[in-house]
Amino acid sequence: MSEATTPLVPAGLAGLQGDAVTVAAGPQGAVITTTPERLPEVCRRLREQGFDYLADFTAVSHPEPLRVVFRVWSTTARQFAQVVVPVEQAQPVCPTITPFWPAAAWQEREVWDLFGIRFAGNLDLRRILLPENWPGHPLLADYQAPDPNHLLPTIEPDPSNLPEGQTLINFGPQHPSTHGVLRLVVTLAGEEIMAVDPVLGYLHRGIEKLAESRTYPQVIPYTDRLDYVSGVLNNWPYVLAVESLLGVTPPRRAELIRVILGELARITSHLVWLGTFANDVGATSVFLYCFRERERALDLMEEVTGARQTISFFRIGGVPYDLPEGFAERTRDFTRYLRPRLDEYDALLTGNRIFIARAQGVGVLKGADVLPWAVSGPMARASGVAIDLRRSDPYSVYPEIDFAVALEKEGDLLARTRVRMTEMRESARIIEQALEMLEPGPVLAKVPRQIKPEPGAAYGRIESARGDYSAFVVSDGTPKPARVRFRSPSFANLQVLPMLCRGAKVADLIAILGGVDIILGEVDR
Amino acid sequence: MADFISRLLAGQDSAVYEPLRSWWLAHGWPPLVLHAAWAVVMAAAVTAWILLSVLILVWLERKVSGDIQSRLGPARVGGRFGLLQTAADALKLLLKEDLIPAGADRWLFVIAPVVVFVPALLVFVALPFARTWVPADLDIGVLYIIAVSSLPALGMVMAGWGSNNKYSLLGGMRAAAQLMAYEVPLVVAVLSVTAMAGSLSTISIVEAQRQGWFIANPALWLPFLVFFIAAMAEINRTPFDLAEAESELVAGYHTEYSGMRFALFFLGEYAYLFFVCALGTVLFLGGWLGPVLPPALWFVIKTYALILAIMWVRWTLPRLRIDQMLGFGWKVLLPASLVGLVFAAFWAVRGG
Repeated sequence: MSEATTPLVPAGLAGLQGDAVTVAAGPQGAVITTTPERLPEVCRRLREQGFDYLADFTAVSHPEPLRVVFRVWSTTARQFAQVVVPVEQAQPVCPTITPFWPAAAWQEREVWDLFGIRFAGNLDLRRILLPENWPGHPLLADYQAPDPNHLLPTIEPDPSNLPEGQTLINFGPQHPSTHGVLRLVVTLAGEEIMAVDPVLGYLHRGIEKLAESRTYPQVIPYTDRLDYVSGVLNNWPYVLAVESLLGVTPPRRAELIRVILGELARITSHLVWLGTFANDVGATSVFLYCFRERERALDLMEEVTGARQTISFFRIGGVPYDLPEGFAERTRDFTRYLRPRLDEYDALLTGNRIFIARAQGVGVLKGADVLPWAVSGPMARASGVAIDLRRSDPYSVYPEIDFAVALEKEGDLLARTRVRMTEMRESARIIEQALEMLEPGPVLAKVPRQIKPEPGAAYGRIESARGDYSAFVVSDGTPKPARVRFRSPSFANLQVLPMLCRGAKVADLIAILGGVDIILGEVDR
Repeated sequence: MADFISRLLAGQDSAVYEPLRSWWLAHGWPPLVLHAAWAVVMAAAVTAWILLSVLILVWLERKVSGDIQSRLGPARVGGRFGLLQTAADALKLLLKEDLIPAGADRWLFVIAPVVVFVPALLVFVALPFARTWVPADLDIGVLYIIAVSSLPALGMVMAGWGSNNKYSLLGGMRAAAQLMAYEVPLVVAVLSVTAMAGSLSTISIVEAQRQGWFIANPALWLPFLVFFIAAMAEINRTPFDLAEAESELVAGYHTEYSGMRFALFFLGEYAYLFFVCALGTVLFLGGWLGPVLPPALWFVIKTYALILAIMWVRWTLPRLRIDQMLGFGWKVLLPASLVGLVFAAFWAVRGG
């Protein structure tokens, strides 16, 4: 968490003070409040001050006023600045921030979709999670849901004005390799990809909306359903955010248990990735090997809670109870078992000529594109950007643990594979160290019976298996959160897919999509 | 031509056929009737054999892949080894509704599976399981086999076009492009063998290996390698399964097929698997030659050894991309096969 870092008001913003801009220091960085008119100027100054990464972008509708809230991060100074832009309630308009942070393009579409705020200057302001003809904007306070049995007519892309020799083809939402219900509207010229337009929302369950009508602890099980492949890691940003609203610190043993289970979840997630990615490029057997290994990790999860995949084990203030007897020994058995297996998969894939031919130089993401597009996680590290929030924005006990940040320079599929293979090995190391560090003690901090934080807002941010995963929680002083927002790494990483696919072949498209490692549950939320 | 058809029908020097023919002619009955009746019997025998092999091969593939992927494979239908699994699957496919998608080119859609499957039967006409176990010992046996075995790609293109589905179309086009890239090296590799054997007759090729199988001849190592790789492409198996490419094209050219029409594609695929390996056995592994065991058994053993090798490759390797596959075919396989041919020709001339 960033409480430890000294909150500073960025020097270059001092001159903007007054005249509809206020700058305040908060526990999680400077908070800048401005008007839509002054926003471009504020953004420009922030960019100049080195805030190069759009960490989160959303809006809040209640308590009033309706406002756009986003947070930028300086990856060099490791500082945050939060920008709050109240907008007009009746005809909300805000200037786009895409000239400063291109990553905002999809985020603005999402805010338009869910809040009805128009972003002047965003050239592609279509809805993104809901169908184009959806009535209303669901996260507004006065939203009336339409009849759930009412089916909307689907809007199909129009192929009539394509150039000669090109054709439109739908990959998904039902397709064996879209890893869920993603739809890609692809323009093809023969086997060559001319354009890709991802269509999201087929798995949109309105989890952020649902969270508004649940109490703080009740939200936790919903978070597992976001990135269902790495289950328990999803609890983490949310409980971090609520803990920081409450000012609670979990006991040390709880932190270690979180690290152990979180890293186990990372391993299971990367195993699923490796298996499905191998399957995408045609190596079917690796899929079953990876699932065999994953079973053993899931058995460990099951010992702890009885559930295997979405275990919802984190609580506000720690974890609900201690690990079962003998868990440490069995976990060590697992890490010992895993390592030689990973070497075997290295030989089978990263050492295979055909695999290398399929992965090398394919889907290259240049290092210079990583930060502007807010790409994070293994995708960023494979492109030579050493951002791992366990090191770059440390939380929990990670500063005490010795592990290497996996880094490759090429930015292609092979580099992404190598990064994830290394991360599994490093996760095994982290687990072993955390098991060594375990000492008897309480696992749950003292928290009030009814959780009712003071009005305010806080972020919780972790490095999930896919990257920068943060939760933004707004409290209005009631037992239910006013707004819960999840910044999911898959959503941001998927945004660069069209860029990576330009000029690739159909087979590459599938491999590149696999290499991004999206989970539709957290893309669509 | 008439001579060709007559020999094709006659089964030539079959041990059963010759006495039968003498007996038939002794009665003064017209020989054409016997030819026709014999052709029907042979066709039935070949078909029965192919269907039986396909049943076994599908089961074997599922067991082998299960073994490679550390799972059991079929284990319930027909005892704990799942022996009747394929029969049950075939029955299911027979009972399924026969669907033709709206907007499909009906004629092409219906005929495509037949075009894929029938050549799978035709190729067995010239494949000798033993010295006398061959429906027809053609002078041009190898040429005939190569010609007929490239027909299925036509069926795949027809299926791809006829389905009115873009995935199918992509699969069909890939099948056509792939055919060009591997068929030429395959033919050149086979030519090396015929140069060495000095004959296009499958029987003569096997007989020429009495002194030693061709695979033991250093001059034919390269052609064997080219043949093995091109054969995998011929039967569309990983790493060359681009026409189906489940993770890219759903099921490629047969995406829209169900029921018995799909089963024909499926049968064809496994019949070709058997055929290609049998051809490899004839060309390189000495066909039915071998000590102690009956010749036909030797033939089947060698064929299954090749089949297992191909299955092993399929369940281990990733898939190539279409441009990589074509590049590999034209830039690597073709030159390699030509070098092999020249080398084999010199060897044959010097040795002969």
